[in-house]
Amino acid sequence: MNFDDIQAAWNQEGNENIQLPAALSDLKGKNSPVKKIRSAMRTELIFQLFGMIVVGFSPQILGLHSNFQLAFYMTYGFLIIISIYYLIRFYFFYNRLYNYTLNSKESLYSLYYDIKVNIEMYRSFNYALIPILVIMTSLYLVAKIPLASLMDQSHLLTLGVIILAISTIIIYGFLEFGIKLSYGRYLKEIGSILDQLKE
Amino acid sequence: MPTENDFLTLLDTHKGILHKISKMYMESPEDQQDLFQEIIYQLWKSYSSFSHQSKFSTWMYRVAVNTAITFFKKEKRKPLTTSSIPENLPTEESEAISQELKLSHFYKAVQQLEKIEKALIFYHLENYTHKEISLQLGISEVNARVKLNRAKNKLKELIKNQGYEF
Repeated sequence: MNFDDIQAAWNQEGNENIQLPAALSDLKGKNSPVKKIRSAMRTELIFQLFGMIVVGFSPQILGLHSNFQLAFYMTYGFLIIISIYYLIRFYFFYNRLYNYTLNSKESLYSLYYDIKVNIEMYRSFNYALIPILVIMTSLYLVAKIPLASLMDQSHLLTLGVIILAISTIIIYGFLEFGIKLSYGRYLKEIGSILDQLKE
Repeated sequence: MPTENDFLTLLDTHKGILHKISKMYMESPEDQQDLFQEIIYQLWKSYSSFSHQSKFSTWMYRVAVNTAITFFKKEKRKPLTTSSIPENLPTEESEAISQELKLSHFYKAVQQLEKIEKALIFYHLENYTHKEISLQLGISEVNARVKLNRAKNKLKELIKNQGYEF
């Protein structure tokens, strides 16, 4: 066998049994990276909105003392503002993803860098939430446990730093794992294709 | 505004080539069918942006190949472990094998290439020149030539490893 044989067989391959779909509206596009990223974003949005609602009602659910509720809701206001800003940006990205036609190397590059930029934005969004969540957790701790009477100022500061460090490590772990699982592997796949195209 | 029927009629004359791309990129029939449908979906989605400045087939090949190289097979599907291709055929028998068997060996080998190598082999079999391949993939002509030669050599070795004289 040689390439001429392959060429001849290729040219003669029949297409009698190939069926086109009866209706194009039934096609959804299943396993493209774009579809998978959009699907992951939708799922995540549901969890984020649910989480924000739960956090908003947590003072009532957990019985936070009314003295702390003003501070809590001011912090919660920041959480909402930051979330709205990032969610709007993600919404634009989500819409842009649908319009990628992948009909050229340039569109692959655009897609690659768009995903990359948005992964970084997703990281910054989550890291921006760390101090807010730490403040909220601290408010609950201070409200529930009389820390000031149990330890002096320097120990309180140490406790704050420990809470911040632990929260950062936990969020970092979950975040990087989530990015790798939901978005990173598609980015890696597209990156490897672009690498193959390099000189 | 293109209608669905116009598009399907146009596609009907090219469905064979889309099926060939699916077979080059995916191993299992289920994945091939998924990719085939994905390509049609992407073509239909972007058909309104087709400018008619190039041939329909040129545009279609580019969208189809780019869809194939970014397509993921379903993860839970079991990989094919058995081959329908007889191993180590004697030389005299190999000279008389059918076109179908040759294609089976070709597809089995080509599926093991890198995604861009598959694209290069595809365009080569569709009689694209190095210049045309370079334009389709957005690479230089020299790069297209070098990569195509590498891909052909790799394919040759893979077919040889299946017990074929090449």
